[in-house]
Amino acid sequence: MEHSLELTRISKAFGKAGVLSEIDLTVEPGEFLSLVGPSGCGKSTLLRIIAGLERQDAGQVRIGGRPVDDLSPRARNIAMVFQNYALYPHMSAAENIALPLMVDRLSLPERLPLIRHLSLRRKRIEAAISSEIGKVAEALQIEPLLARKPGQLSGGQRQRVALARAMVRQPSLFLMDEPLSNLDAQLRVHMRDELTELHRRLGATFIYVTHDQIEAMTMSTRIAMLDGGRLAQIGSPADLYERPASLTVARFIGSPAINILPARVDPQGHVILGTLPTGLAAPEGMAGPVSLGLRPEHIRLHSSCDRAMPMATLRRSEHHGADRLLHLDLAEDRQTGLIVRIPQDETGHFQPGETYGIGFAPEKAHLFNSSGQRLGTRPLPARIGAAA
Amino acid sequence: MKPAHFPMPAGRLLRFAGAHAVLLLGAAFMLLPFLWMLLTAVRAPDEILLGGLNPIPRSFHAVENFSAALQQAPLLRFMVNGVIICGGILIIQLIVAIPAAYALAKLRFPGRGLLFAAVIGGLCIPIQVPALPIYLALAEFGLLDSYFAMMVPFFLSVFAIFLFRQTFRGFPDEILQAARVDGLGEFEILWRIVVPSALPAIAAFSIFSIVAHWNDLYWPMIVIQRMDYAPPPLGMLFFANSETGASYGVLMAGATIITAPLVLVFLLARRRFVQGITMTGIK
Ligand SMILES: Nc1ncnc2c1ncn2[C@@H]1O[C@H](COP(=O)(O)OP(=O)(O)OP(=O)(O)O)[C@@H](O)[C@H]1O
Ligand SMILES: [Mg+2]
Repeated sequence: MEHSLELTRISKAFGKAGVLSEIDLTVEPGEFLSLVGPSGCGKSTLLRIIAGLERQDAGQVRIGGRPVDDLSPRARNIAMVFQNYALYPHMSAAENIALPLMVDRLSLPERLPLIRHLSLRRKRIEAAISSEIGKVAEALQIEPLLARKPGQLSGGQRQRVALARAMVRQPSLFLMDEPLSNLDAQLRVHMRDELTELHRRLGATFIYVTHDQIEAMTMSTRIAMLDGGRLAQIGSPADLYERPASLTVARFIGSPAINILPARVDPQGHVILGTLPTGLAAPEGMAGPVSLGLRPEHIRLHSSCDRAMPMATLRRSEHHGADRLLHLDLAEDRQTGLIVRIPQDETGHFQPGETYGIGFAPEKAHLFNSSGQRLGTRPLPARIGAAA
Repeated sequence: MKPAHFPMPAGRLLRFAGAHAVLLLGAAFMLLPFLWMLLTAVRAPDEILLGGLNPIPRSFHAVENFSAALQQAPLLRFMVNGVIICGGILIIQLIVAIPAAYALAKLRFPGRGLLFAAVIGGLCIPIQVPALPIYLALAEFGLLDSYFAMMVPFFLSVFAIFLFRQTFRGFPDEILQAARVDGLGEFEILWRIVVPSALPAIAAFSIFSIVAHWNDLYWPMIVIQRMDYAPPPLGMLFFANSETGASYGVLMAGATIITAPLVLVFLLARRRFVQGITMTGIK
């Protein structure tokens, strides 16, 4: 049942405002691909183009290897789950779930009021449909809710009905546009598990739009990040976390967010933080201002140090269950904040107001040029300020 | 336990009383003619002419007046005409206005802004303006003196298009997109998904339309010569001229009979009506 999806050079503008430019994307059959990015970057627009609800200005959409640009949303055999559930307000949950099947299997006259009663096969088809609804409802545990109208359901229940409506057609492709964003935190975690489980069970291809990076990290086989209408990076969650292709990706993925420190490259190619060398070297021929990215868990604090190290002052310490988050201010300029994550049970005396030396392993550091692109790094033999 | 009673502060009480006094005055002003109609319909003829402004009838003459009205004028015929005309107008108005309003509210096509501006412009043109050309056209095709002649100028209601367009605009796009993904065509989306949610607005418009055309005298008077086709007000006019002369009691009994259906319709649909004009969307 599962299908691949290929987008080639998709572009779209609304009036003069370009929203998407030259998006190339291939999704393997059975994959769970998350589409992430800041608000307004065109995620929903891309999803609507895949669904056939919006026409791209240029480029091609192929589902299962077949170009679908001239096909209606219905003919593309996709299912879509919307942010606000988009249930039909005056129909019961069962009628909502039944509608796509009715449209598939009954002719237009058979769906018209009054005339439909003349059809002989309608009864038989409706019986088959209601048994299928029963099966889907059982899988999503919404059987007791089938008679209710959407207005009488809670957010989580509506979400499930919307999922049931999407599943019942056994589509080749599931498109989901921030389906969990209207749920409270606890329900969101729960539905996250259910969706992952659903994906495993159905084996269908999922395209999942979210701006919650935790959802993207935990659920997907791959993540595609859009930024300013372009595909900034696509890869496994680990790829995006460990090798972000740009500053935007680095900032978006990871919680708490990555620390970005202003640094510069001296004529010898050494990366200098404040006045101190970091033990990193930039690629050949590179000089000038750069940004140094350090994940909170990759920073080590040293309370007693005689080596030359960048210094930072502890502002406060937060308890986060298994971890502790330390908020510091970099000593050189008091502007730059720094967040360090340490395991709760790590010994050490962390006192607000104290000053600590900052250390990190050079291979864990990320370097970005002034336009935000990732730079390769070379560790230097002499590791100044770096204590692994 | 008695519910706690909070005395209203003097200022608010005064404003409350003031507002209601104004409303009562307005209501009295509008209801008085109806009351007088009812009172006249139950009085004896001599009392109507000589009784002055005394509101309490001295003798009840209701049975005589109402039976005289029903016997002397074909009131039932007028009312059947009224139902045919109002029903015909309303059905075509809805069939035309609902899809037009949907297109203006939710579909993207070139010229949409211009068309909507034309609708707004149309709101400002009263029936008297196109009356003459329409009359001439009907006369040319020999269609005067028919139900069709009475209905045709009203088939296209810009007011309905405007009202429904405002209502449909509030309908969430996501639901329309979901319906398209589920395979519904635009017309099916309209009648299966959008219209059921807009029923209050449709009911409100229906009442406006029925009241306006049930009571309309101007246009029927222009195109109708034969009493067989007369709607209630025109019928009453024929009836007042020919048969009853100065028999006001009978006349008012007739007027009461032809006003009653409207009052009944309004009372039945009152809740929907108020919902429909205060609400411009769902959510
Ligand atoms: N129908 C439309 N007409 C004009 N502009 C539009 C239309 N739909 C979207 N846009 C614009 O396109 C851009 C991308 O919108 P889109 O809804 O795809 O963003 P998004 O990534 O889904 O954002 P969010 O995370 O807030 O949902 C926005 O700037 C938006 O204003
Ligand atoms: Mg969106």
